Amino acid sequence: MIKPFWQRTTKVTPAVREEYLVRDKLAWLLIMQTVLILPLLFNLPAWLGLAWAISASWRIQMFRGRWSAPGKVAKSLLTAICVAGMFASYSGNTSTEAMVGLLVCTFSLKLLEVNSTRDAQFLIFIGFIITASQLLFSQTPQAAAFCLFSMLLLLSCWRSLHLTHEQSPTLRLKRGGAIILHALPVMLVLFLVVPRLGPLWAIPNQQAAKTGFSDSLSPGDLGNLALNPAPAFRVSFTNQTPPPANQLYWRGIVLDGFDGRAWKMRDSWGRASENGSSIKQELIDYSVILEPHGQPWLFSLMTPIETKSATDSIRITADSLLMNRIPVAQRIRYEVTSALKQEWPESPQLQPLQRDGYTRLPLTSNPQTRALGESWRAQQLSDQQIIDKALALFNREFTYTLQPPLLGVHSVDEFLFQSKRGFCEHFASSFSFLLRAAGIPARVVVGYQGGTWNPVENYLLVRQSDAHAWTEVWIEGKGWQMIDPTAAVAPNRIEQGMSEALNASDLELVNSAWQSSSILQQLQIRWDAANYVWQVWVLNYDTKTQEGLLTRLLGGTESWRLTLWLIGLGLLGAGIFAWMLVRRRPSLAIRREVKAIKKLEQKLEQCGYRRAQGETLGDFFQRILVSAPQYRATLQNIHQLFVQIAYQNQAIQIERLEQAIKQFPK
Amino acid sequence: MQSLISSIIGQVDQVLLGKDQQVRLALACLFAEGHLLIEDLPGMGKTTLAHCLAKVLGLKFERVQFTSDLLPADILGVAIFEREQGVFKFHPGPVFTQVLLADEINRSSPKTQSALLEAMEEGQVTIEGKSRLLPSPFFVIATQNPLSQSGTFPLPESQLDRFLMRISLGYPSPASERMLFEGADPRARIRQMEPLVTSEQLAAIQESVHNVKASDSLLDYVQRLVAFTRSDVQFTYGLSPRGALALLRGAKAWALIHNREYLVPEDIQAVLLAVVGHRVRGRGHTQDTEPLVKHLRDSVNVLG
Repeated sequence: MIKPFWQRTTKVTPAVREEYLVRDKLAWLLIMQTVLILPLLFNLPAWLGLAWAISASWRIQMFRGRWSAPGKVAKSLLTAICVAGMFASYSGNTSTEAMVGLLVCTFSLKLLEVNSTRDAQFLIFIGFIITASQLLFSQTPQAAAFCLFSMLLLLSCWRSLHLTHEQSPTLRLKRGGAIILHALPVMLVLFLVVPRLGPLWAIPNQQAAKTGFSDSLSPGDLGNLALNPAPAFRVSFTNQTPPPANQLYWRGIVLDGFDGRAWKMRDSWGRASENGSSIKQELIDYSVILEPHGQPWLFSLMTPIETKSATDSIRITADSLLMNRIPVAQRIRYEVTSALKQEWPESPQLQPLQRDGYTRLPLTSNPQTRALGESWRAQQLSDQQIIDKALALFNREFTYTLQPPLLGVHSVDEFLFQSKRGFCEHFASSFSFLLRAAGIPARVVVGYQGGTWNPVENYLLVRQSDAHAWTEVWIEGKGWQMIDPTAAVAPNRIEQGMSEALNASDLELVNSAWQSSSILQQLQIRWDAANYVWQVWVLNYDTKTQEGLLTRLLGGTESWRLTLWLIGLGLLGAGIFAWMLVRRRPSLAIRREVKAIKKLEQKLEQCGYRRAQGETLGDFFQRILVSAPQYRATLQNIHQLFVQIAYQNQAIQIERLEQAIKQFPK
Repeated sequence: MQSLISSIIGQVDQVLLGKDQQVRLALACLFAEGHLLIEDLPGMGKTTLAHCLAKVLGLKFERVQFTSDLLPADILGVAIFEREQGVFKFHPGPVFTQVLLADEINRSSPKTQSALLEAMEEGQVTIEGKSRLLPSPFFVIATQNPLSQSGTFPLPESQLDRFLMRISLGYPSPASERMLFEGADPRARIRQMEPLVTSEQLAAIQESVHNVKASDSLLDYVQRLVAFTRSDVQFTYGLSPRGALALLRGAKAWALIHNREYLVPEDIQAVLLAVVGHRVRGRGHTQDTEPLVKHLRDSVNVLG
């Protein structure tokens, strides 16, 4: 019976093994390629995986002698197909994906040309570039770990190419790992010391999947997010403590147009005319690390005064929102100063056009609610009274739930007068509608509320499930004021987080998605903290942090200081290595007990006794005792001590031996 | 275990009178799981020693007289066609035993000598492509006659290397020879002897040889000895690492016999001639390496 080719073993002479691609070398190459390409396939067109599989199986068939190597025509054809495929997939765009795709093509097709060890080396070199390109798509700690694993495979594979004898795979991996371990300290030093040049080139056209909420809000949108535990952003406060939960309203977008069903973003009506500037109070500094969500808006607390980021691409809009110039496709970090309170010395005014825009409603939609609002206005109630009345209505009759019934065309009417069960967007939407119907300018704000405090690294983690919608109302003399109708229905939602505000069946729904057990939750907190540290210390390590760190570690960043430190570290390493070398061969040093015996021998020589080279101490003493029996006790004691120290490795104080020899011949 | 060892020595000493040093070396060799080469004239008690050891230790004993026309199959065994059953049946040779006395091993052809090699090194023999395990422990005591060299095939160095120790018994002292004359026939005595140890106990003794400790100081001494054989002009070639290991192993067994769990230089010196003697060669290519080993022992500083 013929064994499958991977089980057949043939003895190969070292010379042949060195030059040709023998079985185990090819196997290592294939495994290495698979691992390296695999994560890239998530971001690249699927046919690339097929191309790779075809060239790999062709190479295996070539190795078995079943198929012949591709000729010039076949090679040209394959190349042409791949290039055409890239054109078709990216329609000629030179995006990062297209470039990496081309690289993967090369990596796959090159396999067909690899016949000797030297060719294979070329494949290894491309492999290193492929490994680096993995980081273009993801910079998480997991991605870095995978990168390290890829390097391990690459190095083991490279080493395998030059092996002249068989070796077990574990040993090969071990040796490859040893190379990485040797390189790690150098890598660390280079990471810390090499000047950070900032991005040399921008990564073009990178698209991030859109996550979180979109730029319109219709009933049911946020309810889906409530089940998503993915992090939205992380905030660390300069004074280490977050403001109370009822102030943690992270504003994302302002929706000021209602089309009968959904709230939409319109052109801003412009900044409310401010008579002089307001007095900002309760300033708070914080920095936000935002996960990519594919949208241009950023999140801040009311009212942002000042913001900073590495790219200087953030502006503060008229609605006091933060906007990035381009959609956020990579994690970004920005710093904000917000005023939690502001007072107006002179009343701010809305232009008539603005007032009209903020109270506009579609004529035919939700007639019942419109009627209710207009009836309140007709009762000559003040704005504040109307707001109180509306909140009281919500507080009295409504239920907060994750599973609201589906609503029809007149969604606000159905919600207010029939179902009376809803999630935050229902409350915000209907509250704003009600106020607008009563002629009070109102708008819906969507963002996140609250967050989880991570005590390990002292930051606030805001998840997608913290997504929230609330209302801002124009109050004469005070400007835009935040009013959260959900707080009137379910105050727990605001104070303690969503899970406190839900009933049993809702909780079950939520728990199945996350928060399974406290241990898991603890782990989650730790893992998130690790992620945060990675972000702060590795990804955000720029010139400023580098300077700060070097100043703290070395006392300055002058080049002579760095040079001295590097030389010092190098010398230290060499010293440790030398010490290890000496320690490994203890025989090089003369042992202390032997030194002591040498002293004794000098004394005995004066008495006329000389130990022959090959004479053991016991024999020597025996010889002495024949003519000088008076030393019996002393010499026996010395001999016993010496044997115990030198040959029995007993923990006997060597001083006792030295003392006995010092006192000899007494 | 110690009382066991001393009772074994006592028993063998009663048969082999006045040869306590050689008996201890032979036992040390056995405990260290090594093979023994005895170089001596006929009639000096080689067979008696081998037989006696086998009996006391409760081991199976076989003896093969090596002659120039001895063939490997005579030692290893042969497959013979059984007419009735119509199959080849393997008839094991004398090598399938526990103590094998290979008498006058240098009389046989190199082919036959090498047949013993696999058995000694691997503890198994391969006959007609099939490996067969030998009983354990497997202990070869080979003898050769140092004087009459005509018509012999001296064992090459590689083969000598397989023997852990080489000893010679030598003439007995007049006193012990007198006792031998006066006493009963040694063969009758051996027949009366009872095994003193079980195979488990023997295995335990062999195991505890490994547990004898060699301190750094002692290893330094061994390394000085080995280095001396490799650099001194009187040696044609030095001691191999295997030879050095054999020296340590033999010395450990020696230390165990003398009731110590650690090595002292005296152990090394005691087994030096037996272990190193057949592994080195002097400039003059003389067969007798005793002066050379003595030179080695006297020239290397014990303490460093």
